[in-house]
Amino acid sequence: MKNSLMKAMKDSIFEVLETMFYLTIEINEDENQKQTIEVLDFNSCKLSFKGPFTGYFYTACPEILLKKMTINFLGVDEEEVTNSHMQEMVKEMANIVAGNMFCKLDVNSEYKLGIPETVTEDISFSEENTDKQVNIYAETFENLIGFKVKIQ
Amino acid sequence: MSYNILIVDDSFPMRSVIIKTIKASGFGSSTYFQAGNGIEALKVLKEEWLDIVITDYNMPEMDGIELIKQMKKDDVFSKIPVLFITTEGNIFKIEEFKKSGATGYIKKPFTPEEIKQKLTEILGEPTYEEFSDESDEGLDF
Repeated sequence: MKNSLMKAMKDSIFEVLETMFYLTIEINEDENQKQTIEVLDFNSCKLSFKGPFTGYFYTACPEILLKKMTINFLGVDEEEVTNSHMQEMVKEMANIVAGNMFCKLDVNSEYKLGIPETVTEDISFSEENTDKQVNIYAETFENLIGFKVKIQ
Repeated sequence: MSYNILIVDDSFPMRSVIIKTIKASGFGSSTYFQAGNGIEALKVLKEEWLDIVITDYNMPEMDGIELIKQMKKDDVFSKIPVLFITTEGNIFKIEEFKKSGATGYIKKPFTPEEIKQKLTEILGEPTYEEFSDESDEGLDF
């Protein structure tokens, strides 16, 4: 499970970030690398999923990168970007990456995705990858975006 | 030819991107209407003449499938083509889209080429004027 989930996550992250967010990224799989992303009320989100297995998909993006992505995605000027725009942005990214990931994992299984919601608890993307949780960092030139699947 | 296009998605960024992508695909001179869920979409349908509805599946209050069900109850709305743009891509969901009477679907992430191909199938080729209108506006991608 761990390996197939990691592959589906990586493939989905690459496809979504490059196709829709025009980001060139590398995947960081170093489980020992202790890097943190400050979780604020507008730069992270989680969404529930139910299917052959059930749990939550999390993502968090540093504010500076999220702002750049929002400017590119919406085609607005920097001064027009609000926290609300960035919150919507990170939710949309999570929704697309998660939906695409489950299709890649098994197109013959149905996963119901919840509505993306703001994270209120601390999230660590540096925990060991197991059959119950997988953490992946997508690296851009300057920043990291954290992704996590936690199975209940 | 200019089209009236309704974009239904609970995400404001996604509605903006869909509009930008459609413009980039050659349908630049069309008029765009927006709704955040199926209920808001039905209100727009009652007020505006629309050529196509492009909708997300998973939305609060009224999802895309329920929107189509409601449209099918109306003689005029039932004739308007509906295109899903969704993250849902498993075989069960695709079958559900087909059964609902949707004209087609596009899976996120999508490219301008995929949007253009699908819209051309449904609405016909965009005209030269539409491309030229778009080139004046420029692309912000």
